[in-house]
Amino acid sequence: MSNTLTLMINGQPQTVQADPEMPLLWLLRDRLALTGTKYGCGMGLCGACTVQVDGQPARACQLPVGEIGSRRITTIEGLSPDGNHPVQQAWRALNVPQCGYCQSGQMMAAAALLREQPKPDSAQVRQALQGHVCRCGTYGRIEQAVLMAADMARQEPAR
Amino acid sequence: MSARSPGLTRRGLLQAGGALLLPLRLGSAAAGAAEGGATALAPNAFVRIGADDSVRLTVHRSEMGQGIRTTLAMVLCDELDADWSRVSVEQADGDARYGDQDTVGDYSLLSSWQPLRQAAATARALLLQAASQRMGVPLAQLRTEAGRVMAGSGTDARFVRYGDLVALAATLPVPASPVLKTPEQFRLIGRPMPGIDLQALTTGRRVYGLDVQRPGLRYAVIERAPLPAVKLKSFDASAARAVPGVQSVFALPATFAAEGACYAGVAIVADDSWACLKARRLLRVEWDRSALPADMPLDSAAIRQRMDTAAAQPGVVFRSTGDVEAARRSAARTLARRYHTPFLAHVPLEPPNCTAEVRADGCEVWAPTQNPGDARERIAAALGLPLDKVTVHVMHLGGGFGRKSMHDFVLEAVRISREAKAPVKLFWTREDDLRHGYYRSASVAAMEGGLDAQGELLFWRQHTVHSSQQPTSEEGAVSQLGLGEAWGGMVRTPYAIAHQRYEGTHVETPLKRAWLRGVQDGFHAFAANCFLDELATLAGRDPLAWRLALLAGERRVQFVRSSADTDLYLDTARYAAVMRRVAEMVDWPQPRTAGRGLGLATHVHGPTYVAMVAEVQREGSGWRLERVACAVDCGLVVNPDGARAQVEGAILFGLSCCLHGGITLADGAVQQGNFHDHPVARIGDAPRIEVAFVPGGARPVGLGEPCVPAVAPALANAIAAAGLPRPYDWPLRAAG
Repeated sequence: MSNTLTLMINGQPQTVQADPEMPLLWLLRDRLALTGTKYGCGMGLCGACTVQVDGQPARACQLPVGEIGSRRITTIEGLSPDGNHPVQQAWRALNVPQCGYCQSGQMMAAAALLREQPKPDSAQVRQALQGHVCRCGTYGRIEQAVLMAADMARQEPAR
Repeated sequence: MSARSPGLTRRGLLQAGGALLLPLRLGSAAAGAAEGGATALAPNAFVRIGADDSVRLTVHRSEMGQGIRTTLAMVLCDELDADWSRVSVEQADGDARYGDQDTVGDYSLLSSWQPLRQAAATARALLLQAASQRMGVPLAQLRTEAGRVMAGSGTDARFVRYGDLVALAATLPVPASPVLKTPEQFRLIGRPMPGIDLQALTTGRRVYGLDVQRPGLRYAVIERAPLPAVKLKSFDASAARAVPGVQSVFALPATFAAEGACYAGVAIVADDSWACLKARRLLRVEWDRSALPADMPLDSAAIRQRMDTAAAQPGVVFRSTGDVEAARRSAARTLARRYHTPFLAHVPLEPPNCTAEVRADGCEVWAPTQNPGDARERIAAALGLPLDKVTVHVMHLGGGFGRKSMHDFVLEAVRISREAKAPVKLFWTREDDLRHGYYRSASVAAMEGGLDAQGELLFWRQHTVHSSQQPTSEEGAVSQLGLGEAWGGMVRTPYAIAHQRYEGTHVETPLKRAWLRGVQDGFHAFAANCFLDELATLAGRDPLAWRLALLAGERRVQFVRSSADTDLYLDTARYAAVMRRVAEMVDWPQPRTAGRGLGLATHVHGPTYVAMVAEVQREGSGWRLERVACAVDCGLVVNPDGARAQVEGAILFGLSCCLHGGITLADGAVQQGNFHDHPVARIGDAPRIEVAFVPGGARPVGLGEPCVPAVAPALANAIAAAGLPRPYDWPLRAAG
């Protein structure tokens, strides 16, 4: 079964033919060549597939495309026009990524946290990212980078 | 290095598209000599300096987060005095001319250090020579900096860009022995540098194996048998084939290949990943377990019992000093303990996958492989093709840890593509990765030790029982462990103990085994460090002071090794230095405060020395890991920030292995499937981590693995020091 769907992704309407049960993750990766969003578990347990839906973090592997409707999807490719979101800048400043596979999801969740909570403390950062797996063990740097990004964002015009 | 090296001639300097293409010889000297004659010095990798000042290095080792692309680029850029912003790296394909490309064993930087520096120094010498001619300035008055040759200073300063010199440089005679920089002249080496791929890694643009896109690409998954020895009996694909987008469903018999054995299974090929997964749920498969050996233990309890039984018998002796039997009889006090670890899975966040395109005239493969050169040979053999018709492109790896050195997922993709007559991306789900892969063996260590009447350590006996992971042939079974499996943390123990014996016993188990970050050292070092602490408590000695005393002064200790390995001395002075450094970091032993425990573990992995202290705070009947301090001697540190990241990562990896349990078998199948029943370390598990590098040598040695084996024993010792029951098994979390 395949429906014609139009989805708002990174500010652009995308019209696709897809099984409405198909999780957004596979639409992004297989049909739209937006491979920055990653597959890690398929059960919503690892966070590698995290995108934003109307600004809220969501697990793309758990979101059937038929249920998205007019909600606005943002992927890592759309987090900033130039790769310079404060989260991305902080990630680079602290050399956070090792293999980097989990980092798209981590950054999308971190950016969403900072929109909700511009001045998080360490405990809030750890709580927000507890659902994300990093097998390279970059957690210490991730925590520092979110705090740094919060400082940077407070010194910049609102995004 | 010999004066011949890198053996460049004028003929070797190609000028392609206006660039200086500098060949270098990577890999072992033995590999070069084997080719013989004029080709013995043929280049196998390249540095390309363009007329536009760009500098491109071909990196022949896989990138999986250890930062090798950045580190090698730093070494090149520094020795060449290039402009870092113009340096880029290109990933080499799998090709025997690069020598050994198996990115394992902490070997990449160590083996590339000298050849890369030689090539860069050669290029720099040629550019200086060219500049001297061009500018009419004597060589002695020229210097290089950030991609330019400079003369004079202040208002008299002149310079020429490298790009403007490459054409002339390529025509000049090659210096036989270019002068390498002294460490004082390093500009980048020894400084923290940002990763060379950071922009791509923070914008979702880095292309991992799973991200590969090809025209006409199909996707595939495999429903695999529960164990390697289980065969396919029958399957019903009627419902699966009815899923829109499914192209074909067919059987795959089990195949044997060294480090590439594939389970029996049923393959589904479809237009996209979702159709594959949807169809797979509708597949009905029956398995044939009749080929399982009758005496094969099929659940974790039976495996453990088999290993414990073997641990009560003598094992094959790998090393013996003095007379342990006599010492045991005369000892004033003795102790015996057993330490267990479970099977472990690598769990790279990017599961195994491979994109293969088998065509009439050859085969092209894109894979996140740690071992592309061998993969190429295996594919050629499997397809009956000449080697030059097979291309293996190495993609970025979303984690490796040793799993992606195996060839099973590559060979599966090739078989499916050949059957489907189309390019196919074969991907493993997380369940596939946990249930059907390669594992680190479960183990039991039977430890015995004793003190003499003065309380000195009189004897030490260490007997490891686990499943060997030596390559097997289809017919031959392994009957005993190899020396290399009883080495680090076991035979290679430098303590001056009068009577020592190291034994090993292989026990057959039904799961495939492969090297997992830290390898068998992970369980040897657990047993050895924990037992040494228990003996220290018995003797009333401080664990750190006792280890230093047991090192018995400054010695270079040599151990017996198999002929396959080069001899490696263990320097007790370097070992003592990291122990003293970590003691400083935590102010060991610290005054005792209620409920807090410091635990020490030390380990030597190859040429790298590690000392680690974990600090634990009791919480009720449980505990919280507050801090881990680690002192490391990995020789010369090229990129301090990258090196620190490696240590941080190794500590988290080690924690994940021992905190959250492992893989268990029941009724002949792995019980775990995803992160809900196979937890891994998360941000809440991360302690405060402090890292110190102890200077130890003029060249860099390995850092990918050495810290991993020290983590579990440091933590177990800390738990015991905090006054809680000592754990002898993983997961280390106290019950209740």
